[in-house]
Amino acid sequence: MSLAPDVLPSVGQLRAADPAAVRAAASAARSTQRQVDQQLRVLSSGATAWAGPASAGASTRHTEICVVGDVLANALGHLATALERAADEVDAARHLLAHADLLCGQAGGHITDVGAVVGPLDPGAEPMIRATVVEARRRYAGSVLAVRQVEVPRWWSPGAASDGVLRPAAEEMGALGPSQPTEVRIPQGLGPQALATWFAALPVTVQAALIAGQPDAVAAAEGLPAWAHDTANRLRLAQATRAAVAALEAARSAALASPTPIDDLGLGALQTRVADLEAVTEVVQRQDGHERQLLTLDLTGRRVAVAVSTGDVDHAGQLAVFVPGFTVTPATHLRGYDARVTAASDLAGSIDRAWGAGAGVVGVTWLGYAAPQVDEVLSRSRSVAGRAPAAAGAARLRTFLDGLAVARETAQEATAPDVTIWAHSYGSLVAGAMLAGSRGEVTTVRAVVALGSPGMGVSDPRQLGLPLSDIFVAEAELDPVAEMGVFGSDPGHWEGVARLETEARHLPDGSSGVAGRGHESYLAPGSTSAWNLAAIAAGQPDLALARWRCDEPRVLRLRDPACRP
Amino acid sequence: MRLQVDIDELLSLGQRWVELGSSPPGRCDALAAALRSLPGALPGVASLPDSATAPPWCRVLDAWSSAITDHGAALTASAGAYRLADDRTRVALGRPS
Repeated sequence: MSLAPDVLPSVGQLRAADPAAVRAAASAARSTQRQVDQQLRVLSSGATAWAGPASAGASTRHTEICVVGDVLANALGHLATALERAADEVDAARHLLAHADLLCGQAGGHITDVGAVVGPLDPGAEPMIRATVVEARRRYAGSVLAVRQVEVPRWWSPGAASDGVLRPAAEEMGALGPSQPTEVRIPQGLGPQALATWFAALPVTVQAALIAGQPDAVAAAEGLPAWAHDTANRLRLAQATRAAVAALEAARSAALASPTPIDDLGLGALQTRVADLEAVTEVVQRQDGHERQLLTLDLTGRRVAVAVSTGDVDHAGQLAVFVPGFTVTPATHLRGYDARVTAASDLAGSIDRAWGAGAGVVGVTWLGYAAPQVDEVLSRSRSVAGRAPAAAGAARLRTFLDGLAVARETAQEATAPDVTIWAHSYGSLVAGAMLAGSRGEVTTVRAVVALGSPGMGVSDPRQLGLPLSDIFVAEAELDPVAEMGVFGSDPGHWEGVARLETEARHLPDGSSGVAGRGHESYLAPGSTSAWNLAAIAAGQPDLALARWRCDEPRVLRLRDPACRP
Repeated sequence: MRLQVDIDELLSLGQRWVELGSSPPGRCDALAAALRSLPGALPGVASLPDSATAPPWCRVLDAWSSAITDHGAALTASAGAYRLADDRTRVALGRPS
């Protein structure tokens, strides 16, 4: 925002501002948020006191109330954060003004409450003092910008439910009917943009009723905010896990009584389904200070397809989306990849705070496609040697990213986050296919890093549709996949594309990065490679260490401590 | 017909919700007072957005608390209905309660 000086608050008003009172308001909002969170914990732990069709309506109502509470708690958290930021901005404006006051005082003058600079000033110093004063007033005027982006959840209740009593159903004394039957349905035939607009206009109580009553429809609707997908997917995850465990138990019992070989009874498929769902549950319930969101939960395939974020996607400034490759499944890889993506995106957040705008970086572990598996190598349509799984994955990745962008753009005064793709192994072919297929179209992808890539499916990096300066390649020692170059040309040999360092190096933050070895080393915490990925995701590619000889005329080496004289 | 309800537990659940709905977030006095001080703390800043004022927050906090209380009351009322039905069943079957 840029305001003309004549509409800015005066110097006197800035002097009278009270950032402590703004911080007190932030603290009150945070305290109220904690109270709501505390209530939610109690509500969520409610025991099931009855069974059968009886509990369905009340259970849905219970979920609705918890969803609304969750939205309310999050909104209070955003208010607290925005007020904290406003107080920081007021402080910063006052520091600027104090600096201008000091300069002016040293020159024998002073600044009046209306902003006039008076006194016998050095003509050379006066313009700088005036500019500093205007900047201080401008910063003060914009201090509440973040607060403007906070939305208070809107409430609406149907009048018919005003007595609030859940009456036992006539047909069965064990049944409780819902207090507020949900008439609202997700409209058919709307695109993501229209759907996002439609959903954003609903009161939170109706949004909650939709999520609680129709979680499958909400989860499938592209363009809805991440919190809605997360809430719906968590409900679906619980339901799917219960159903899968029950099916597995039943199959085991049947197997014991059957002469048919156990393998022929589909027990393996049920076991992998349960293992996938248990891995997802474990990850989304991790208690490590990250508010993960279950952005995707697709139960239609042979393996569960899933995307888990390390934080609040709806409010992230930048996203780092990790796209993995061959043999990846939730059961075998989600726990480990989530831990590494979390560590790398935390590092990116630190870099963003220290060197960038501090808008926040959230990681996403995207296992949102059917990665080719070992037992599919001989399948024409599913083999890792072919491009078909990547093509299917590319379409899903594009849909996923578009959905996130639309949801963000529809939110009040928000913009889509910048996306960096960390594409590993066969996942780099998925990312390459997505980027090449989107060439000439607007996407939110700002940069891509190919890690241990067997090729991105193109012979020329320009086919990816990104500036060459936003394409990066990392190839660790002892990584045979990185040398293959079987899908298009070998990214490690692309002209004009930065190759990132993976050896042990001193890092720009003063720490030491360790060397990576092998195909799974790129996200290893503490590695030079993880630093590089984090720097690029934070929008600070100049802080990434490139694998150039120091005598080469590359821009990146200028920031490389090892290349400094 | 077998009644699949633990009436005492249902009653307890309802009472717990009623108590929860009546607890502090329903009274947003502290938040309201803090937000009311903002215009004085930020003189000259163009009008504050709705989200920085107390009324909308208090409305939604109170409504949420009421929803919790109402649901608790509904559970309690339902438990009462179940108990009545259970008693009638026992009487009809000639069983002691």
